Amino acid sequence: MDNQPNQNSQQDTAQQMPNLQDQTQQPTQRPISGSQGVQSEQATPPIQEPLQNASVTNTPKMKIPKMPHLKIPRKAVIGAIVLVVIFIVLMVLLVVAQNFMNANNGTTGPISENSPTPTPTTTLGSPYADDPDILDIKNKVEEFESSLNSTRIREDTLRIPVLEWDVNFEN
Amino acid sequence: MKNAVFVILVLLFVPTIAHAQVDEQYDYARAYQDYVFTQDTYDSSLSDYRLARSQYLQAQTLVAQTKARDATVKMLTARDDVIIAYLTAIRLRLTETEGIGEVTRTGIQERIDSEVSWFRDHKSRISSAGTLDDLVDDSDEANDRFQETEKIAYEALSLIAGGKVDVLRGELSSILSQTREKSFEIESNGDYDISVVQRWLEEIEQKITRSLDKSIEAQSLTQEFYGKKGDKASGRSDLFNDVTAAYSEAMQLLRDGNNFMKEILKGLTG
Repeated sequence: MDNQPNQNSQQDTAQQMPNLQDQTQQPTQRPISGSQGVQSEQATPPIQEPLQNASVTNTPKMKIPKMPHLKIPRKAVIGAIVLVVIFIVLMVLLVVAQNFMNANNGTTGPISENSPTPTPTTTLGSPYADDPDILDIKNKVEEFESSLNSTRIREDTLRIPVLEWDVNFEN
Repeated sequence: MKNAVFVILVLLFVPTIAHAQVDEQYDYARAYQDYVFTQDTYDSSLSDYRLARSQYLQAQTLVAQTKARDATVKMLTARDDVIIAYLTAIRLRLTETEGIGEVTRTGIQERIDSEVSWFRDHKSRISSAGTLDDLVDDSDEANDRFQETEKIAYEALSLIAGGKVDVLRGELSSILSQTREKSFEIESNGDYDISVVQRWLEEIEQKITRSLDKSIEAQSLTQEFYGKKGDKASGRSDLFNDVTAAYSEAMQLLRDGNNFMKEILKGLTG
């Protein structure tokens, strides 16, 4: 009495094996031990022997476990975009308002006097840079240079003339 | 009636034109133009002389002899004109060149005048020459005289070169003096370290002194035109090259001095 239902149940389970594997997501060769085995015996006690027979006839297929498909809710994405847009608009409004305030105060840009960075100090030139005497000497030097450049030691136009001195009437 | 108007117009304008011509000074530029003109005339007469001479030597006829004589007279006359115009141009160039001492200038101009007189006299004697041999003697006489004339011309050209360098040296010396005075003023103010500038001014002073030494060297070379070196035309030419080279060095030293001065001013105004 006990075996008959077991046989029937074995056949049923043999036929149902692939589905079972799909559900448990475990390979058939894996030994069942510990509490899991006990639980499976309790849930389906007559499955073990027909499971070995089934493995002979139908080779089990290795299946790669699928990653769980994460789905971000569409509402959350839209909400984030809206927040970013609001933030940008606020920043633009802030800049415009600051410029408007500066314009009302008569300043168009940052005040250099209040700048924390020190401005580079230019070295002071010679105290005689604009001295009239020095500038006069400078002009004279320039005039003298032009005189030097225009002076020709030789009077090229007054070279000794080449003349015929060998005057004779002999062959 | 028309003739009377024409005569009146001529009488009105002729004195004006004549007055304008008198006012025009005979300067170096005009003298040089005359010199160039006489050279052109001489070149033309020389060509005629060479042709007539070769025809006479080939033909040996009286006609060819007469043509050769006429052509020789023209050539010798034109040659004297060239020398006279050349000496006149040099004389005026001496007058217009600064930096030549008055005594030196007067002395060389008197000698130039003497040469001009000689060649004018020589020119007047050419046409009276009778034969071709007389013309040959006349040419040789001018040739002998021109050896002395050339020395005077070289001396005058050397003086002109020396005068130019002297003027330039004077200008740089004046600039140096002015700068030195200013440096003393700056030193007394005590607001600028002028010690380096004053040292550099001494360097310029040395350049000027060396330039003067070179000019003196050139002047002593000038005297050699009347020595052994000046006996031959090639010797005179070489000597003149040496003189101008010495003056060129003198001018280069002044150029160096001026470059130093520019450096000093750059420091003072920088």
